[in-house]
Amino acid sequence: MSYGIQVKNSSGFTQIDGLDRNLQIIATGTTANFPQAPQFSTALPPGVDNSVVVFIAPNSTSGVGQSNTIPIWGYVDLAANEFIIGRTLGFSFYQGSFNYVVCVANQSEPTSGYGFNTYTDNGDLAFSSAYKQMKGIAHATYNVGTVNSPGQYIVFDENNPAWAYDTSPQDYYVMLNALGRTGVLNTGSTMYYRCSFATWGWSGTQSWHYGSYDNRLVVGGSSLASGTPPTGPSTISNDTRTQIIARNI
Amino acid sequence: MTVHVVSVTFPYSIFGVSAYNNTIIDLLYGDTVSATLDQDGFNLATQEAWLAANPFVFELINCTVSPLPRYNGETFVVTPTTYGIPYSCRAVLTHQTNSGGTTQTKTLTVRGDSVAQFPTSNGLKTFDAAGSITLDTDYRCVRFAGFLSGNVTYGTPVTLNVTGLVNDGTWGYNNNSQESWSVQTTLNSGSITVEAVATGTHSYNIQLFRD
Repeated sequence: MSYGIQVKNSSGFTQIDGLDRNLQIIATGTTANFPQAPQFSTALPPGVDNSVVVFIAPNSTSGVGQSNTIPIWGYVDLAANEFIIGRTLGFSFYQGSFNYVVCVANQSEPTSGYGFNTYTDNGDLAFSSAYKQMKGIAHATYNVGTVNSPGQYIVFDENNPAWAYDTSPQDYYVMLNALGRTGVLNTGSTMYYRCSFATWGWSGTQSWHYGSYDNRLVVGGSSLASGTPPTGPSTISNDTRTQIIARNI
Repeated sequence: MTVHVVSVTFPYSIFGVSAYNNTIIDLLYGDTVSATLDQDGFNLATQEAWLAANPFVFELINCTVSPLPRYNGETFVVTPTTYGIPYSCRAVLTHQTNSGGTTQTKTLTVRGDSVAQFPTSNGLKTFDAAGSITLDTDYRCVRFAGFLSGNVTYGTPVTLNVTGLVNDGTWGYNNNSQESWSVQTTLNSGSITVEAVATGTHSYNIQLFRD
């Protein structure tokens, strides 16, 4: 950077710089309970633009089923001004709600008259102490995979130094924007979504899926979702996605 | 981290009276003091026996002394317990005169200020109007580096150049378009390749961010 301010945290990651706009929280809430359906929607605040990012985490202290997990997929439907959370095929019986955090870049300038603001070189508000920040924990960039090529996945669990003491899986949010659909898989009798997924897992019971008994969060590609998809591409997109695991504290 | 040396020797000429030395040493973080107090002139077996049975008595404020016990002429190390506030170490040696008469004391006091450790944590902490933390020093923050929108036609990939883009764990992106499943993106060094995987023309809306 050649102007402005740059702040780095104790691990050397940039918190604020003179170039980029920070994600700033504009809304938090809790969704309705997951119905007995493949997916359900939750309204976004009115007027959000294409910078909108949604973080979600289950509002639960345990998983569901034999694997004690909550596996989901989802996406942001900007045209309908809502976001979708769907079930994957992996023992996804959760019927509770989710906590969510909505962030945008284009937050208006606060009117409190005090605090600390920074701006980009073209005058956009980049950071304001008036607006809360998500605490980024882990970052994973992966390919979703194809039918014949399994997607990559990343396990973030209690063995990771970034997993804070005395926290549980539900304390960690995932970026819903990374969980989109990447194609339709037609088995001949049933059609599925191919999608990027997130799975929260709790320790203490058998975990058949990933071979880990720790509290954990698994994100990546190559999961399947049920439902009745609209006509979609039969060629699976081996898309690149980036998942940010974060906390709202 | 400096070891400051204080060495005080009281001559035989003042053997029969009490005496003291007061030394002021200000310490930076990690500094210590190596101190020695020696009363010359012990020349009777009875005095040697006395000294062997009577180590220094320490009066310590915000510091520790090691090793212990310490006797006349032996060196001890003074270490502040908490840097950033004053410390004081007073070592008192009590002895009899060579004639076995009234006891005397020899005192060495080392004291001074100390400087706290320079913060090794960086970062910024901010609060909103309600006093709630909106950013803390250990937060890793997601920042938008750009928005890349457009259309891509099947069979004609698009290359989006992004200065500085590398797959180093701090750059990331997602295609936030409703047609994302018709589009495949690939992260390259310095660019993103966008190609359609279904016939027709499809939109893309890439949120590019750093964290």
